[in-house]
Amino acid sequence: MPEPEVLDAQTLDFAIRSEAQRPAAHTEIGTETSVGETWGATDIQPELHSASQEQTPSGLVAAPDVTRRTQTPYENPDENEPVASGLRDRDEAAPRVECRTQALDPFPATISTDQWVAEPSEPGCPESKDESSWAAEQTSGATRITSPMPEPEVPGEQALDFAISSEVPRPMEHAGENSATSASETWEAADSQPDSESASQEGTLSDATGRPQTSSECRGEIESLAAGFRDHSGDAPTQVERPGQPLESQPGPAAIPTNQPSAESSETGSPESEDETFRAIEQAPGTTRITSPEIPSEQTSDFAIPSEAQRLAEHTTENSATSASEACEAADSRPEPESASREQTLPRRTEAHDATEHPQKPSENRDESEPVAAAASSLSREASGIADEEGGDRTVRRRERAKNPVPDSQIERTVLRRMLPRVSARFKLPDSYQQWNRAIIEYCLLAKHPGESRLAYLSITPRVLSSTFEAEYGVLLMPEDAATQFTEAVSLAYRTEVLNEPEKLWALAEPADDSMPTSVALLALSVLAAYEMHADEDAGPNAYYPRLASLLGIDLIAGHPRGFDLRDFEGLWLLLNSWLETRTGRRLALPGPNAGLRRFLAYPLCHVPLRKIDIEKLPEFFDWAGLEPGSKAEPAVLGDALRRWASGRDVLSKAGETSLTDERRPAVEAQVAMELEAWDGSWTDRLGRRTAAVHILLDFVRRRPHLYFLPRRPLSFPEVFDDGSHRFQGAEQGWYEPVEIAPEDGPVLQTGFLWNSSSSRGSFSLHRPSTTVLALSPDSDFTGFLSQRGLPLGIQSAVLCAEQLERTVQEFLISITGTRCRPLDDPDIPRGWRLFAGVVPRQAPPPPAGLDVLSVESGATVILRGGLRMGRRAAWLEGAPPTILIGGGDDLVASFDGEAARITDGVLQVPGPLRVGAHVVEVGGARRRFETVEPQGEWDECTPLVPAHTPVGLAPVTLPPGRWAVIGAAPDDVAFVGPADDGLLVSPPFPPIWAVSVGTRRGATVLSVTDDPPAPRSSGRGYAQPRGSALVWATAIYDAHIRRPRFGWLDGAGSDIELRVTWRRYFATAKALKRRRRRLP
Amino acid sequence: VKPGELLLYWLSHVREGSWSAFRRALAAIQPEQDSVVTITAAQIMRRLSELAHADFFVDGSNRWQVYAPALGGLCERSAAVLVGGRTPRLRDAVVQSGHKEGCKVEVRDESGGPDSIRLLGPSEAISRAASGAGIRYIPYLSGALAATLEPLQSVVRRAVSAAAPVNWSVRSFDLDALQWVDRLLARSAYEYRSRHGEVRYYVRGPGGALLLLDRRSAIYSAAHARRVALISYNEHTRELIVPFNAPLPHAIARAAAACSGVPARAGDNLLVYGDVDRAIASALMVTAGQRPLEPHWLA
Repeated sequence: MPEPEVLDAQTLDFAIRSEAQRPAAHTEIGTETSVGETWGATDIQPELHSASQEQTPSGLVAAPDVTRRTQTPYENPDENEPVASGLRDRDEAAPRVECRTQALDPFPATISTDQWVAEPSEPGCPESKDESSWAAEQTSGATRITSPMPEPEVPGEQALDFAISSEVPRPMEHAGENSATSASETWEAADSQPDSESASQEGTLSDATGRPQTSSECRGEIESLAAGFRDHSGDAPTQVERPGQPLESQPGPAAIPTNQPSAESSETGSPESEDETFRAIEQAPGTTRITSPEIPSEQTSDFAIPSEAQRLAEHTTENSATSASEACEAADSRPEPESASREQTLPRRTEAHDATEHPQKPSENRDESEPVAAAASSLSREASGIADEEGGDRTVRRRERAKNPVPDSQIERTVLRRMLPRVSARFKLPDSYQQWNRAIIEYCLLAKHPGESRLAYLSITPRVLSSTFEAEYGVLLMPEDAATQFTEAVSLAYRTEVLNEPEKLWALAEPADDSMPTSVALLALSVLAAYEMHADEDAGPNAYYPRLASLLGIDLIAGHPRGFDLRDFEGLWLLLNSWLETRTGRRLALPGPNAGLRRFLAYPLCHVPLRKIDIEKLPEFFDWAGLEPGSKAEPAVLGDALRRWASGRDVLSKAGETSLTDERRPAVEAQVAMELEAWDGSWTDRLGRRTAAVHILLDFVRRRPHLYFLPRRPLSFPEVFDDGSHRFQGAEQGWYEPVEIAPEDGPVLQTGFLWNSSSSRGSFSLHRPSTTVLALSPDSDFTGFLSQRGLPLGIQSAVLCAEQLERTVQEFLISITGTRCRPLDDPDIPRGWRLFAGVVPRQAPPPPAGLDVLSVESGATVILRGGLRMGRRAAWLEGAPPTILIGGGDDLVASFDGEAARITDGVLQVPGPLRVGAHVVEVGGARRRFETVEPQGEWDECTPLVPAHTPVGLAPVTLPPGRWAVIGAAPDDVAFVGPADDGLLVSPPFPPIWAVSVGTRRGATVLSVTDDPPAPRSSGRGYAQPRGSALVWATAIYDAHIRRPRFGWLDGAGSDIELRVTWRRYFATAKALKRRRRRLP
Repeated sequence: VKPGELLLYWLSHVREGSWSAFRRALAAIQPEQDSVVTITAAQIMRRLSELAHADFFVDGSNRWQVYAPALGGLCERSAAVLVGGRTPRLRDAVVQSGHKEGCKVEVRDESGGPDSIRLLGPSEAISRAASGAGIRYIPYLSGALAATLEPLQSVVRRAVSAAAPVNWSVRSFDLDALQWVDRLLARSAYEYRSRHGEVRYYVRGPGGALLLLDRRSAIYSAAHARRVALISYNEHTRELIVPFNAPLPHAIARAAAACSGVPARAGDNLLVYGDVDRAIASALMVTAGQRPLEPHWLA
């Protein structure tokens, strides 16, 4: 039950005011906040924020020594306790991070805190552990990171010079002088390929056997993506060779054909560590020099070693300090060349995304993506903080070459220019995958949800998946089952198709036949994996990739699912974003430019800022707030209410609470809104009792209003709910049959109720919170008006309010409709309530206090009403389409199937009869897709009218009261029925001829059952050797005959004489049989 | 496409559903005339049920289901009617197949309900036409249906015994006046109605226990207990006649209507089923707990 203080609107309002009076800051300053619960930086201690801001007021790093304390994302407070402790320790130890910016060009050096740290691996991942241990071991010495490149080759770039103090030489020192190789490659490959460094410096590469390989040889192994990435690194002229278009010559980087496989995107370490390992490392005893290669003129390629297993083995055995996973990742992702070539190295997207270099990148969705970007930025800051901590007292010196900002859009264009995958002829995604893919596209991306006016969120949770599947296919699944089926579908596709493709994950860039993206289901699974973080006890909360691998049903190689190329992963996200923007004008929520570290992980994470442990508590919140299941509510309102509810209750995780107060809040609100929309009104309370919500339905029957209780029926609920007073029978899936509200139910409706029913299957409850006012608006699932939150602008609705609110509601309704509104006078309306019908809002002023539920939704709304709908699917029978109600402003421009359509009185005018197929209504950003279908008959599934075994062609024999022997023509055909007082229905297994009734005394009855009784059969075994039933047959006839029976026709009316004659033949036969029996031995 | 035909297409596609879904579907195809429906859900339900297109209130629930399509032979042996669910494709297939086999095909417009599609011709030709359309042919459908009926006594025997609901309003069926009255009568059928509109029907069983039945069965059960004749049969006109307020239980009514392929005709507070064979009439009467027709005794 809801908290007592929020049982009505007045107290709710009081709660709001109380909340407003509370101190805003509830983050504890200076406390050790769980770092794992947040992937943003909101619970970073304020002083750290300020410190960071002071240090990098404009994205520049001026102070050489920086002591910072930040938090790492993705961590569970419990499981990250060691990390947190480590943070404390290192904080106390004040690690020295030395950062020098050396301007090598006229542009000022810009470096952010996001960049100038040696970026850590993801805590919890194998590589991070390695690095952590490595970092912990470092007590002296220095790792010097410098650029090995001829510094001033590209004007306008900054050289970044790192010097990381390290007492213990990092294993990357194996790379020796391989300064031209990227750091990770050096770490991974240098020890096994000691000659590669010189080769790469000379512009050559070495193959797996150490054979020098020229850059031209390698060039053929670099795919177009590589060229794309080079395209946006700095302000150098874009030199991208497009298919059919020669690459212009430019100084510095070599021209790389875009249609060749790229080695650029080889993974060097974990998704996080790859960013940190971009830099080539120049190692000297006690010093590691890392040079940033992300300069067009100094591009160096990341190359993988041919045998990933070999790489793994080498690293695990020889290079203990190097993350094995890093090595394997690199090897796994790109199997082609091993060493780097300066000409062939392509700048990585990370560099382009480095925030401080272009802190205010132009973005087309600047306004709405800002929070997400900021969140990613905070994510990066946290990660950077960890890097500092992990670095211990390392001294990091970074000298960055000046770079000009590279817009996100440019990066996206780069990805989009990437060649479509070359999929094999046999590549065909399983049907189950395609079904889910299609459903998610329609439900999550193309359909606009509250709060998604310009940004779309792929907020995948089990509940959303269930709702998605139901919306698309009309099949209701339990959320857990939906998640399982979805996971199995994606896993199957990944294992059987994607992994068998030469380009692996990138094969999903291949669009479907209908030009829809095929990657959505897989990306959705990656979000689902993120959603489940914090809930899996077996794997660490930060071990995202193990979760993902588990969901995909494949093994983990080097910390990542097999075949899971992170750059392809990122490319798929960007590709999907581009498609969505082209298709709908909305962009997909993306991490933004500052993601930097962990940017790959940030893609799925930014769609589910609330995780499982918090999402599971939302139904309780929805109920507390009196939100109708399935409602579309304004996200900002939800956010406010959620914060009020969560404050002081200690119900949300710390991360969840924090996300409501930082830049992730828009994402949280969108996620909550989507959960509400997908919520079926059920939850399990603390007693284990399953509870479902009860809606109110208003319908007009012969102009009279009828109000009904309309309970939801989750799949686990019984067919019949009966608490002794209220009995509900199951209706369509997901609902019980409506039960009319009686006039005396008024008080119950106002105070709310909880009806309980117990059975062998458990305890169930139907619940409705207290209510004083109800908005009743049209719904696609029902005729009449269903209780929902808000009144759609321009669509006829109704309002039911408590008597005491009549005047307030009336005044408000007058203000929104511009017409006189009077309550209906009907005796069936619940006592103490007033019903306003025919409410058509024309304006959207804010509702007065306590009438929030009546807020007018001014956004475009499409409601498909009426028609003959095919179950729960968004499909209607051909010839009986729905009426398309359009809500929103008067100036809406609507289209139907891509062509302009007129709106008259809130109804979309559809030209002509609808053809069979899919139809799309688009109005002001709102979109509804539905189908008209030809009726199909699955007759085998239907109940047969007459069971197959039923004898046909004959009517059953009806006999008068009494005891009867039914006799057929053959001596064996006899059956006894009765006695009965009211007549008998007989269907003997033989064609009945006579019905004979023999009394205990005198008299008998013989009825001819047929109109033309045939003669008896006087042949056959029963006649030749009369035994058993033949004798019974004979006896029945004989006994009746000797009693001078009364004859009659049961139904027909044949010849009386013929009846008697035929009967005599039967008697003669019976007599002969009896004689014959006497002669038998 | 006429609304009744559309409704049958929808029923056939969905195959089964709840009563509320059926009502919504009916509302969707009703032309809006001052918000007053032209045919009530009960009327169209009775029509669909008697014409053997669908079964309503299956096993006492609130659900309906569509029957598999078939060509059902009428009592007039040279005619058959298309029963069960159908789609436009099936309808066309039956018509074409009927023509192909030399049958005369009649499509009758039944106001408010689906069309009546009849094939007239020799039984063998009708059988081939059914086969050609991919559906079953059931000769003498009414006989087959009557053979599958469960006698009322059996229904009463397996009825659930329950206590009378408390605080529910009650009415009784007056077997003399043949209407429901707002008072409690002895040995009658009882209608209990909750304030939420839920309705249950009971009869007194052996030992005075209240037995839960459907409305129609409850009335006939009460009539059986009091030996009240509700059904009559006119041999001359071959009509089975029942009171309007005491319609036959659904399955029995379906068998009666299958004799002619036409639902009961209402008039003078009576429901009249035409072209009913005497044997069928007698069988239906016995099934409904009534006494069978008297045999034709020889002089």
